Amino acid sequence: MKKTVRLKIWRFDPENETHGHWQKFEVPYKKGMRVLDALWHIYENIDPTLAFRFGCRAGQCGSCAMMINGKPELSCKTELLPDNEYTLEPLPTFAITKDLAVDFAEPFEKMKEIRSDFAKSPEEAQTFTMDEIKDLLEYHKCIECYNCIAACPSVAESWNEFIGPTYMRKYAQVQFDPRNTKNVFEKALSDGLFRCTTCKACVEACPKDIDLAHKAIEKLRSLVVKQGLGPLEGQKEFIERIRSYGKAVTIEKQPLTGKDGQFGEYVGEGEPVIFFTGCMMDLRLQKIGKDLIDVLNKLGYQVIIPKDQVCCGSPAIRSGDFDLGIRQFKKNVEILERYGVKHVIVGCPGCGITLKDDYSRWAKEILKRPLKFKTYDLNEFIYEKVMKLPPPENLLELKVTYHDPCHLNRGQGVKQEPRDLIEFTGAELIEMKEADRCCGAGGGVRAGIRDFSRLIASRKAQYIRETKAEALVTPCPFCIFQLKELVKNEGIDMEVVHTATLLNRLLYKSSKK
Amino acid sequence: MTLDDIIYTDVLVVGAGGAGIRAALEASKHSAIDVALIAKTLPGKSGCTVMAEGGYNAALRNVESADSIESHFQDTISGGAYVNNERLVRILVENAPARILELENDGALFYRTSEGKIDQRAFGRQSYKRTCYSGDRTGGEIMTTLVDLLRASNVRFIRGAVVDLLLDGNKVTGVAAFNPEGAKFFLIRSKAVILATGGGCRIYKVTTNSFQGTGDGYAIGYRAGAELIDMEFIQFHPTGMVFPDSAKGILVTEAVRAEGGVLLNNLGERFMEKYAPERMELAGRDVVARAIYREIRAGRHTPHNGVYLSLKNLSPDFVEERLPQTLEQFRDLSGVDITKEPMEVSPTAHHIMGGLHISEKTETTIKGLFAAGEVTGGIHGANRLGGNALADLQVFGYIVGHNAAQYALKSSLGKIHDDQITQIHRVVISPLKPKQDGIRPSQIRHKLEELMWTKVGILRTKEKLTRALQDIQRLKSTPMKVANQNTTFAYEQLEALQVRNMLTVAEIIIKAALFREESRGAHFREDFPETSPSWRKNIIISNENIHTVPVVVL
Repeated sequence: MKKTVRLKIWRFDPENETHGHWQKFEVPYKKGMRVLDALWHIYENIDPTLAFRFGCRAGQCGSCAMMINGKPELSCKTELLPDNEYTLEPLPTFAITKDLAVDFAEPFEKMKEIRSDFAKSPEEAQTFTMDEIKDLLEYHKCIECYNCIAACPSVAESWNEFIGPTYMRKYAQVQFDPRNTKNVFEKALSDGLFRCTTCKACVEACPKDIDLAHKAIEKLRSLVVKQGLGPLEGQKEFIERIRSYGKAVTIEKQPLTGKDGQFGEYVGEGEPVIFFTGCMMDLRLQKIGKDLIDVLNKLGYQVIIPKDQVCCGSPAIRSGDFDLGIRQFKKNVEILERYGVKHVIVGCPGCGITLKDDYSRWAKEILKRPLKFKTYDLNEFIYEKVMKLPPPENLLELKVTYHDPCHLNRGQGVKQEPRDLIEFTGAELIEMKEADRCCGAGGGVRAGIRDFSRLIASRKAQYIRETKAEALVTPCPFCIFQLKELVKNEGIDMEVVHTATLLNRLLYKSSKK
Repeated sequence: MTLDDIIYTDVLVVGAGGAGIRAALEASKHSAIDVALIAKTLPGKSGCTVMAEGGYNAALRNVESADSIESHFQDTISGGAYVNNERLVRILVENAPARILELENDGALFYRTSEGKIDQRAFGRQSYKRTCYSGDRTGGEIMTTLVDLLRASNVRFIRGAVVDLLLDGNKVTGVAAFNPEGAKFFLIRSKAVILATGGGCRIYKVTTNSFQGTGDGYAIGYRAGAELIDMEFIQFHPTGMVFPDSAKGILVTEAVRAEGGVLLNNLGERFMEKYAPERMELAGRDVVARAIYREIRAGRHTPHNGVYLSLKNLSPDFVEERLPQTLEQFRDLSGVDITKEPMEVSPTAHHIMGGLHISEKTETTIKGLFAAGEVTGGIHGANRLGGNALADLQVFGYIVGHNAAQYALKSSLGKIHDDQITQIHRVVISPLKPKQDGIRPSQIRHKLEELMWTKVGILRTKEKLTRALQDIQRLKSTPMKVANQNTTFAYEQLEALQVRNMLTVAEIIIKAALFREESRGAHFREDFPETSPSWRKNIIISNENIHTVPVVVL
């Protein structure tokens, strides 16, 4: 029996139809075949009217971008596996020419505006070091496939208000070139520089792996801040708080940390790990902090809560205040390295990416040595241990759905572990559509442009509602904050909880025998 | 479909690759000139410049001060087996340095030496390190720079494919063109026309070329009566990917060998020792391609019928820095990590050394018709050096832009002749309408690709070439039936036009290959395996006539 691949393709001819329709195809499977090969097969052997774009078929010209199973990809690079069905749609955001072919003239022309005059070298021969041009070369790799524009949740709400990742890349490319003579960061600002949540859907979609979130958005924001044109008013508040007392939020109740910390510094018995709380668990969602500590204790760990730990600095870093970020880094590294304990656990993915990426980078650049500790998200840290436990006797009877926090999923590659942990508790996991679509809270957008942040979140409402779950699980305090508000405003009857809370319920239930 | 939409311009550039965009930019610097650029896709979204990887040759002497313009000249004509037009070569080597420095002034970035100057590496068959590069995406770097300049210029962009030239007496007066999006035929009236349509190796089943590389310019020029030169010389790049089928033919840049990659057969032997003991992997592409082909034919091939290209002597960090695109390409298209396992490679049709016969002023033999880039012939002789193509595009793209503009300033618009329009209706447009008999253009294309690959490949014989010619003539008389009559996205109609061009180009190549009864450069006749001094001449083809002319020397 010869193997085949099934494709479900959106057909629409705007010149001759008022609406489109799905059409299914089955093509013979050939090892290593790509989506583009299947499209050629259909055109040559099944339906000559199928429209799609192509060029180099080697991932270098950017012609063939389309939505494949809901994600923007290059059809020439995406592999097809036998006995699977793939859904193909045109990229959103752009005018459809026909079927899978969209009109790239508009995004192509848009790039025209972002340029500058470069200083010409008098002897006509420029001098640079490789170090000077390393980041620039990364920007230059862009093939303008526009996958990132299709992936971006901010562009999806308003391409007018946020121009999109590849254009921000171009702003950075022009601004940071040593030959540049004209500032373009003000235009980047008015093109929505602060509307990016740093969710990295663009980085995931980029066929050239350009580090758009950090090297374009954050670097431009940092320049804007240095020039005194940023951050945004709403962001200045948390910047001030971090600067004056080391926390991003106000202190309204007894914190988890500090000399009057609720639980003291050493909690429980067993192998010691450090709990880096982050401001949200420390001062707002403290119950989640408690759940996390309980779970670790029950799994045999002693939890150390350093009294004087401060904000990781992420809100400052994402908003462009790198200096404040570095100040927090220096303070926290001194504190965290004091205990001689190698494992640092976080329950907040924002802290997670900051400690894993920014702190590691600064350790190399500023301290000229690696960090003496390794940071783990709770889900990845306890995963193996939990999976080895005997099946729990008193399972949770709960229908839940799951939202991937951007800084955990794309930021740290932790995607399957929380799902497996949920299933371990006995809860029934119902996947929502676009579970990894950004909630809109990150990157300083919730503080800086709250209504835009809520607009991004609102797109998830229908997907959440459709699951008919009793609880929405997501291991990120900031997503919890944002999505709690969303379900309340949308009248969706669902609790929003951290995986730590769910696990603690299970372990509590099981220990009650 | 009628030809009643007319666009007017002074200089029309056909093709938006490295030569075409450069030509349009230069022409547009003449303020009294209106410049239009027509291409089958948005600039940068097709063609081979954007895919080019290895480098740009220029005697900058940044790494080896003993290098010189003269050495670059000598390497080019010896690499070309001494049938290059020496005056064109002189222009190439003298102007290559200035053009790359200009590109940098316009925003391009090339890799650096430790002194901060443009770095230059060794490349195939060159006496000194003169190949400037940007990682292994040199063409991409050049295109991204050119496209930005184009967007900021006042060149008008027209989406479409040129069908045929229109002539007023002995001079060009415009073109008939087709836009598949809307299935519209239209006219462009122009004083000067620059053909910069690139190559045509899509006539071969295994090729590095993008889908758009269908040789349109050669066919369009030929049908209008222009002379073509050196059409028997087809470069088979020694190293193309072999698996999966999907990736067959995709370029594996010469830079891999330049940076230390070695070629091995399935016995682990570094076989270039047998074929080119002095230059080894960096011998001329014709020599390396034949060597690999012979190893494969002798059974010393890899599981997927190639040979190994191994980076065992290079550190993973080095590969990541110098060959990032190759790393990405093998990882994403075939699941191979080139820092851990060797690549499997095999020859692939890459570049046509021949093309439109041009003067030193980039004029073709038709008044008002100019040409630059791969569509031209004579610069590279019987075998092109790696790194000379990217230089060719910028040097001659620059010259043709200025020459065509100057010509347009002194010329008037020619007349359109109804009989030519009628002819186009009869020969080109009508056959695209629905009909009963015929086979689809894609089916004709596949037959063409197969016959060219098996009969007009790296090692040729009279017998195979003669049978190939018969095959072509049969295909030419097979009616084409366009199954897709949708006009919103009429790609199949464009495909029919392209196949028409491909058949013309293929026939010319075969005729030239039959005519040259010797082996020289990339043209190898197993029945005439020696290079014959009496054959140190060029073959010209035009209007069904084939003859030879002496090589142009300085």
